[in-house]
Amino acid sequence: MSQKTFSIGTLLAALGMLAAPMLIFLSAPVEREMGFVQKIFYFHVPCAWLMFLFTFVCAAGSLAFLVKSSRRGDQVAAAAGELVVLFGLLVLLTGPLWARKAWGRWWVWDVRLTSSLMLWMIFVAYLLARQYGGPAARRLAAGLAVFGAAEVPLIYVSVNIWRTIHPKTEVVRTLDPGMRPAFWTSFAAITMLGLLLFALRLALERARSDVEDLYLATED
Amino acid sequence: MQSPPDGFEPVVTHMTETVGAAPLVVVAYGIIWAAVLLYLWILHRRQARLRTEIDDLSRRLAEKPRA
Repeated sequence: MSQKTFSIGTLLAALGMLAAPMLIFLSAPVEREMGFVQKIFYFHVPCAWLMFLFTFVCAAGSLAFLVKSSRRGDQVAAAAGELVVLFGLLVLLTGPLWARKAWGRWWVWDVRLTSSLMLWMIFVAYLLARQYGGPAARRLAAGLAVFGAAEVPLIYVSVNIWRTIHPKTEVVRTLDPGMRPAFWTSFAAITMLGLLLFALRLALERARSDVEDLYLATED
Repeated sequence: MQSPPDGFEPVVTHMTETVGAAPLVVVAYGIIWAAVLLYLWILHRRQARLRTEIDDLSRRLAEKPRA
């Protein structure tokens, strides 16, 4: 990503992150069933979307690494894997805050929540394997990432298949028209923020990789 | 019981709810901002460490006798 693109992206993300809370708290109506706590939805859903997006990016990079031994693929996977853990953590922390008010409980072991927790744990294992497993564990970690991505469609449709009190997948499509500007502004801003974090992390991973090469070269 | 058309389930009303919504919303947004800022700080630290390594590498290369 060029410096100019990064600067424009940062500006757009900052504007979006300023506009989103104004739209959420001043313009969007209070949801009639859940009340004010539903405002968490505007940040919770984009975080979940980014968790899924980076899971697929990590799996694609991991597949390239497994099949073609692509170094670039491995770097992309490492950067994306970390963001799966970050955004997954945000989903797993903001969800219970919403649930506490809406359901009266911090956590229920229903299929959506449990499978999301499992996905997050798979990617924590992915990072741990990369960090502490040595060079050979990178292939094992790549396999874990592909396995994790296979879980995403199941997590997404789980609320439509199994009985759960978690909102269904239609919730975005059938959103009150008054809530849409707030939701899509928040969605765009958080997505932009996620992509910027990814660009930063990827640049760092590439630089780290180059430094490792140089160390090896100096030892020759 | 049929689900409401917008996908949000109604709040169960038979229990006594004591937690206010506003603090939960504030905590949720605070967590998001804190996590993003913490992650940026971690990236900054890693970048600084990498810069130290590059300096070390440059010094090693400078000290290495030319073939």
